[in-house]
Amino acid sequence: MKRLFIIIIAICVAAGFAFAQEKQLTVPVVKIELTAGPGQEQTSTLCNICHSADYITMQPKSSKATWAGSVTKMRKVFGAPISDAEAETITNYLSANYGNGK
Amino acid sequence: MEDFSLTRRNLLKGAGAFVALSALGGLPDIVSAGPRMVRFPEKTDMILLTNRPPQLETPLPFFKEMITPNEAVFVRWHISQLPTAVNLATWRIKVSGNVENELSLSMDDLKKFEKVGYTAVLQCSGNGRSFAEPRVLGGQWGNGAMANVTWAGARLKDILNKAGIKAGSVDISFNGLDKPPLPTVPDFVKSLAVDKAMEDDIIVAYEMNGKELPMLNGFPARLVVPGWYGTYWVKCLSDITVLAAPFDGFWVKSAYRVPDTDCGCIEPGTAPKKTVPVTRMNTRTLIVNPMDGTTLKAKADAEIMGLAFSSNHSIVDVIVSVDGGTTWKKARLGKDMGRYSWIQFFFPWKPEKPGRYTIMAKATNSVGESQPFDATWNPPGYYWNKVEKTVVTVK
Ligand code: HEC
Repeated sequence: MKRLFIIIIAICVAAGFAFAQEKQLTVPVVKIELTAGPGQEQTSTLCNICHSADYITMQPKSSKATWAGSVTKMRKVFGAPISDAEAETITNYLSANYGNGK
Repeated sequence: MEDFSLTRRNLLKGAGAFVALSALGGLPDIVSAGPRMVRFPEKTDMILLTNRPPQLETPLPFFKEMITPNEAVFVRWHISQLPTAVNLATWRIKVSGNVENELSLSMDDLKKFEKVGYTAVLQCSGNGRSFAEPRVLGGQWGNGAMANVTWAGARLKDILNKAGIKAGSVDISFNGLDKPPLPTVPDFVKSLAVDKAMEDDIIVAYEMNGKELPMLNGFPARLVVPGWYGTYWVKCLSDITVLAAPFDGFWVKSAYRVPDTDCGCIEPGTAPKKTVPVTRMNTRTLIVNPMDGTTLKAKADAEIMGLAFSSNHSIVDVIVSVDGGTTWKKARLGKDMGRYSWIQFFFPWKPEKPGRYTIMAKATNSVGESQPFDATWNPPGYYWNKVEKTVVTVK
């Protein structure tokens, strides 16, 4: 009995001070709605491949040139699988719904 | 080595202070209006910037505390395939490349190196980006992409010496367990020049405030480069590679760069001629109390309180103005926790007359570096450190 007690204490101490042997991570999925309008579907799909669409919604209202530059960066720098036609649709959508009128 | 090696007792004292604060109910209530709040694994309610990869900002009230509790430390990842699990039985840090002996270090191996620690500010280079004018794309952080944490771990230098850096080595690259979503997206790898990497104070940290790291902050170990922006503090560290040629990965060569000028800034809205990598943090302050837009009572005692820090030099002076910068007085500085830590400042104030007051605070470090009165600007929105203005109404 006495012996068992000592062993249990030893295990508790080890568990209390040692690291967790394994840690898991499940990042919750947050629903992000893009504004309805022409091009919303392409944008929600294609701009959601590598990151969530809040990469768009958190941005300041921006000019069409700025959005066009961003879409180009995603394609040229990060290899986004987006065609010229899709890029145009998305740029128009972003400037209409997340634009600053410029 | 000055004010570097913290004894274990000091480390514990730091952790104790946090526990005491929490017990006293020092942790803030989260305001529900405004920003979207989320609670992710091992974290408290944080401001959601992005979901995948996660970017979570610390709510302002936490900055009333000297040490930022682990669950409130901001979260910033770049590429979306985060590790879903880490098992210490199999996790290793591989040290390879231009070395005499390749190493494969387990957590136990890491803990065999001398354990050292200190309190240091971790801050994202884009902290404050949302204030840039003209606005720029990127993580739209307010002031909450910073934290003051007591780190502990093994010296990078000791690890590198064990591996034995071969002559002719130039850079050392650091990779973590996060992976790109598509093969065309560059893996998040950072590098330091060999001379920088061999500095005494850079550690591979396996403790934050005396506890293991939350997964979202880099469990089981991350690089800590005190005084430099968080971009170098690679999380879930898995590979250290010694290179005989300059590192040319995307996240050093093309991203995290500022104009090659003294302030890292240029005329707003223009393009830089030449850029250099983001490195040292600049000097900054944050007024935490009273908060902007709040109302105070006339003839009642109020205390202006905030924090200040500056890369690798202690803050020696914080001056405060309550009249929009016309007159200034010295604030009292709080406990000095070393040159990498932030320091708190306190300024007793009793506004006599009702009206609108503009409170400002300006810090200077031990080598005379301070803050600009006007906002500086660069295209990626880095290095925000202008003297802040907090406007309050007195009734
Ligand atoms: C091939 C992968 C990929 C696709 C597809 C993609 N992005 Fe990105 N995007 C990235 C990466 C990588 C980053 C940088 C992430 C970071 O640093 O947090 C990024 C960042 C951004 C940013 C922040 C500013 C910046 O440049 O870092 C914006 C805005 C953005 N993306 C918009 C878009 C839009 C709009 C689309 C759809 C046209 C899109 N993205 C599609 C990979 C992608």
